[in-house]
Amino acid sequence: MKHLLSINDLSEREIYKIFEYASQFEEVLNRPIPIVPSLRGKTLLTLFYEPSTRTQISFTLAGKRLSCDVVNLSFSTSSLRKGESLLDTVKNIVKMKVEGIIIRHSVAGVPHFLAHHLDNENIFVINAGDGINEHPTQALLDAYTIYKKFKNLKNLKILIIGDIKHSRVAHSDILIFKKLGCEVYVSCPYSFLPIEFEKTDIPHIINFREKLDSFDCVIVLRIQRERHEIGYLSSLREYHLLYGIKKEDVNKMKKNALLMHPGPVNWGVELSYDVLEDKRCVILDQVFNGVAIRMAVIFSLFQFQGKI
Amino acid sequence: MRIEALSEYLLLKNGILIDLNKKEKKEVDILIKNGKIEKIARKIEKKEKFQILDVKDCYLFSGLIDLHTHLRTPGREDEETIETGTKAAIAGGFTKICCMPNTDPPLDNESLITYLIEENKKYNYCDLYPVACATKRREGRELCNYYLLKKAGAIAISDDGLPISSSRILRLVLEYSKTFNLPYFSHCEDKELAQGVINEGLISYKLGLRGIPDISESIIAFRDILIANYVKSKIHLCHISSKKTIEVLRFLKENNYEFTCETAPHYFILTEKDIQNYNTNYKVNPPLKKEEDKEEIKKALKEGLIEVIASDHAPHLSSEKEQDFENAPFGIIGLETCFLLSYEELVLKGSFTIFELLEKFITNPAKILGIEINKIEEGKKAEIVIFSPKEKFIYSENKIYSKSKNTPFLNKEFSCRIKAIINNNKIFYP
Repeated sequence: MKHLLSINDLSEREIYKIFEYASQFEEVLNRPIPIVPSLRGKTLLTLFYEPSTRTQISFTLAGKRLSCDVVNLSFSTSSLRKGESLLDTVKNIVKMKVEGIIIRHSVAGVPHFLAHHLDNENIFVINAGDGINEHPTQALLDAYTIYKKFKNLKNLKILIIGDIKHSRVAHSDILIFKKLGCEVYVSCPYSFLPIEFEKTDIPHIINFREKLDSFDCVIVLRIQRERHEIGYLSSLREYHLLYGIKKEDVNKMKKNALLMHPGPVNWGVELSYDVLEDKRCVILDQVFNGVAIRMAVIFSLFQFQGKI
Repeated sequence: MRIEALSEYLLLKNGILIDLNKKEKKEVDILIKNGKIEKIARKIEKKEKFQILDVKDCYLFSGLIDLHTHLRTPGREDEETIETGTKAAIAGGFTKICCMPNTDPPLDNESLITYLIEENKKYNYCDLYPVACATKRREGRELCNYYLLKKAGAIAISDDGLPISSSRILRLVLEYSKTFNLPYFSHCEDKELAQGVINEGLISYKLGLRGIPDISESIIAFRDILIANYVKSKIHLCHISSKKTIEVLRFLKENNYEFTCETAPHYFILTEKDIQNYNTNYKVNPPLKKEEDKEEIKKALKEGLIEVIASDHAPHLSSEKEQDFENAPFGIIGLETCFLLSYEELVLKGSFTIFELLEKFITNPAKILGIEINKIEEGKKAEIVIFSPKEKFIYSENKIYSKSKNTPFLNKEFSCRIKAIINNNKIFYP
């Protein structure tokens, strides 16, 4: 694994290897002084062209827990805003002598563009979300959260509810779950379903409620309010009635099932607040697992570069 | 209109039952007990307690379904109310009607749908199936809550009177409505192009009136069907009126595009030539067209391209209709005359069988709405139209049950009539 641009870059073996590292790093994170010197002297750059707090912080922490220097550049505070071309950005990165970059961009394929140009420089690229395309580390941490509970993901039944068409989380999740042998189902109104989705082998369920007791994991996606503004949603109220998960829905789920959400949650839209107290709701565990997974990803990429 | 509660036993003697499945006519007696069909047989013996209705030579068929009625409620109860509108429906043989959402306020929320359905229960002449707005305030911008609207009783969605001008929003409307299996009723009119009051051509020139090009309909019909088929959603086109649109529809049908469509009697009976002396009772939207359009509509009905005949019942106050042609509103009432006109034009003067005609009024509309037909069978609720195909009938003002009188067919002598309708344990004599 030279870069992490897409879940397609990973084999099943590599995914389980990342999980193995992640569980070791979890142990580090639980120490009184949660830091190891593995990446001392190495430098990472995070480039966030899109506003984000938790993903950027999660990556920064992951780097720092490995003793790596992490420099953050975000859209609102840097020259990124001044319209520097991507190619100029590449040239600058090369001169800055960093070992890897973590990028989020609103346009699909930007991480791939950078990776292509940085390939010969031995600088790795991690995709932290590109447009509506992919968000591979989110998928890894989602799969890892399920892995911690079930150990083996084969034949687990997973339901993803929400805007399948525009969600990079859903896209990466579907790829990783299929790769790990899960049965994936999606539920959403047709306006949130990609055209020709029936040609995939992923069933679309309009009314998931009657089948809630058959899933091992339910992943609820964040509703992007800006979609509402351009006509995709009739109203947040109707969305909540139809696709929002409420306490009575969680009660219908299997006792050992998981309820997940990539965050941040719009309470009262895709989830009602009372689900948070249920044991099956592991949204905050996902945040913790996210740091461990990102440590594992960064560590693996340095390992591939032959620098550790 | 005389409305009577059914007595415990009602015996219809010597009727001709129209069997739409087998496409045959059968002479029968029908015994109705407490509003339900007890027995159907060639001869049923009279008994003392039976009320007898001789229906000799009359056709008996299930209640008709109208896909396109304007009930003007809420907002313009001075033009029509649920009571008068459903009474007009029954007088015309309709036992199920769809009312359009271009009211004031428009039917864009579930409480209005509930209100209409509850209000209709007070009279209970016929079943009411409200069509809800596709977009909020019919502005073509924000989708309505289709799930809540359907739950309240909406049967379809439409911004009738307006097309959805943004193709992007229409696509979302169709994708979202597909989720709830709600058909979209399309009003085919390119509003940018259609800025007139009658069909554009030599007649509009001679009358000095602003014309509406017939392609205004064809353009939106084509676009809407393409978008609906792209997202595989159900679409039904309202009041198709022009030859050019038929040509477009024929092409699409031949290429396996899916859609359904309706026309109204005035489009295969009247033409723009009928607009004499600026008589506003011929001002309808879409406007009346030429002889060749009229003939093409009949052809399309015969070949099955147009599956439904609807009334497009559009009541207006005489004070509004009786003014200059430019400012008078579009529309004519039609519930009472819709079936009679169609029977005369297509069966008596044309080549239709009664079975072919009733498909346009019963079988096909039921299929589009996804509702059950109350067939005339033993054990079923009695919902029977008693139609006399030979009796003369003058559509005089006292035979208009609609609150508005805006019809070009006033005082027309028909050579057929609706003699009575049985529905909801009542018998109506229009």
